[in-house]
Amino acid sequence: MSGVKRSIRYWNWIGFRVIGLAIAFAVAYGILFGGMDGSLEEMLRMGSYYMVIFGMLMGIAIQVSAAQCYLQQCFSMGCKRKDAFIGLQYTNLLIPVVLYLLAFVIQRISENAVGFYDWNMDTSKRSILLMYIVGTLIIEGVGNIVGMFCFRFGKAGLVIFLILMLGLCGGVGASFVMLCNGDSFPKAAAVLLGNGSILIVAAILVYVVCSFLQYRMIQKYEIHA
Amino acid sequence: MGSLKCENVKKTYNKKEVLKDINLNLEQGKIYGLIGRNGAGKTTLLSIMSSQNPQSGGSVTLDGEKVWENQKVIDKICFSREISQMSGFGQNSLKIKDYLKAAAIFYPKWNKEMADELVAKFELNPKKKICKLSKGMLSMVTIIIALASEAEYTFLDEPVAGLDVVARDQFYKLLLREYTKSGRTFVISTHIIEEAAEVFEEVIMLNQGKILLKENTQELLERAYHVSGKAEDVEAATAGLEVYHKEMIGRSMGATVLLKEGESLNGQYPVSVQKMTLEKLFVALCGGEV
Repeated sequence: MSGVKRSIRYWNWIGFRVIGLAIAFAVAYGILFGGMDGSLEEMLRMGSYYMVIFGMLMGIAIQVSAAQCYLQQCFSMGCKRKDAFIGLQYTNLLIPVVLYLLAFVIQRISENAVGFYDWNMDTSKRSILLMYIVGTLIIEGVGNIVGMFCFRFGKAGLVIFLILMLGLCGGVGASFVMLCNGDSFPKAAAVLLGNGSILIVAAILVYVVCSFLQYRMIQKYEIHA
Repeated sequence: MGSLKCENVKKTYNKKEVLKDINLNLEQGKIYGLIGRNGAGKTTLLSIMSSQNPQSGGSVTLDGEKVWENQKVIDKICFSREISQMSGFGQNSLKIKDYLKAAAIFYPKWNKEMADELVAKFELNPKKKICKLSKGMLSMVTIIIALASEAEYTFLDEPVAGLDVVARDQFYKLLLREYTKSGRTFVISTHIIEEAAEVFEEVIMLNQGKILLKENTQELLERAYHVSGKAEDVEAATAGLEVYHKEMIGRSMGATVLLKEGESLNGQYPVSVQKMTLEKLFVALCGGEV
């Protein structure tokens, strides 16, 4: 098996562990926030909503864990820098795709099974998909850099990460308040995504630049512990 | 016969030269002991030879092919690093089974049966987190990874640190069993020199980033002597020889001598001459003056 294949296999394993964790949290949040009025529909609505949100956010979490832990393990077991970098990008693709598809399947099954159509984030809508792609690319691009910051600057990097996470959590909280107040994401997304293709190109650029910087830092990555 | 070769290898960290022009040739099918004081550069050297970290200068090749970022070559090398105890974040938050699973993915010749057998032999709980393990248990994990990797060149960094005497004995037996069966090359870095000396076919001494010597262990010990007596007698008996670590106790003197081929001690002086152990020789060569 080639080095890239082994790296993909390794990151596949790590990626699915993270996906499992994200699903567990989404289900817990769905029950916690959606179960307030005891309806199954509300739980499904909130659960699938958080699945999409976590799909966007998990990129940063995996990059920070990678810098602190998994990259060391990879390199100490004979993985090449280049292959580890490819594996990291694969994980960045795997997690959001699986979580989005899962949310999509849950929503479609729910629509057919219980006739529920009132989603916070309807994954079948183009605007939501566009927002998801743009958000994920930017967050994961930033995550690539934050992960390397954590490795390079230790605790200071972690502080930067925590500040960013607090900001993101604030965003998630604010979105929840918006939802509670009756606003809907598709409307906001429609405004934001008036120029969808430009946004996607900009997000891809952010991701590519951040990943290039990450690659340069991975090349210099040294194992000390 | 294949060989892993370092030519003029240098390593600097923030302008500090940790390895200075290292030239080393590791032949296939031998057990090497790598000994040196703390900070001598042992781990750095092994990490460079296994392509885990890049060198600042020089080259490392295996059978003429460069090692750095060369998967074909890296697949033949396993450097099972010493795992240090830290809590919380990092590699230590993983479980033993996670370590073994990662090893199974990355090492092309991973022997799962052997890994399972060793986990059972060392009575380790695979579900236990690395940060919860004792120092001895951490050493056991590094030993399992090294042996089960079945890599042609296997490096172990402080494999017996924290192990009790029974476990150390088990390790040496396992190592010799594997060596006899496979003919793999092992490089073992250790501070417990005396115990391991019998296992080392060759010893490599590293001092302040330089290779002090690399020699067959028995041949080295056969030419190493500790000479003691009155200072003037010791000086006379060792005149013209390679003398290390002179110690003065009142009017008496002790000195370590490494004889070269054809050399001998001057026997006409009343001095006491004793054979040396590898540990004592190491202290004499690397210990410096107190």
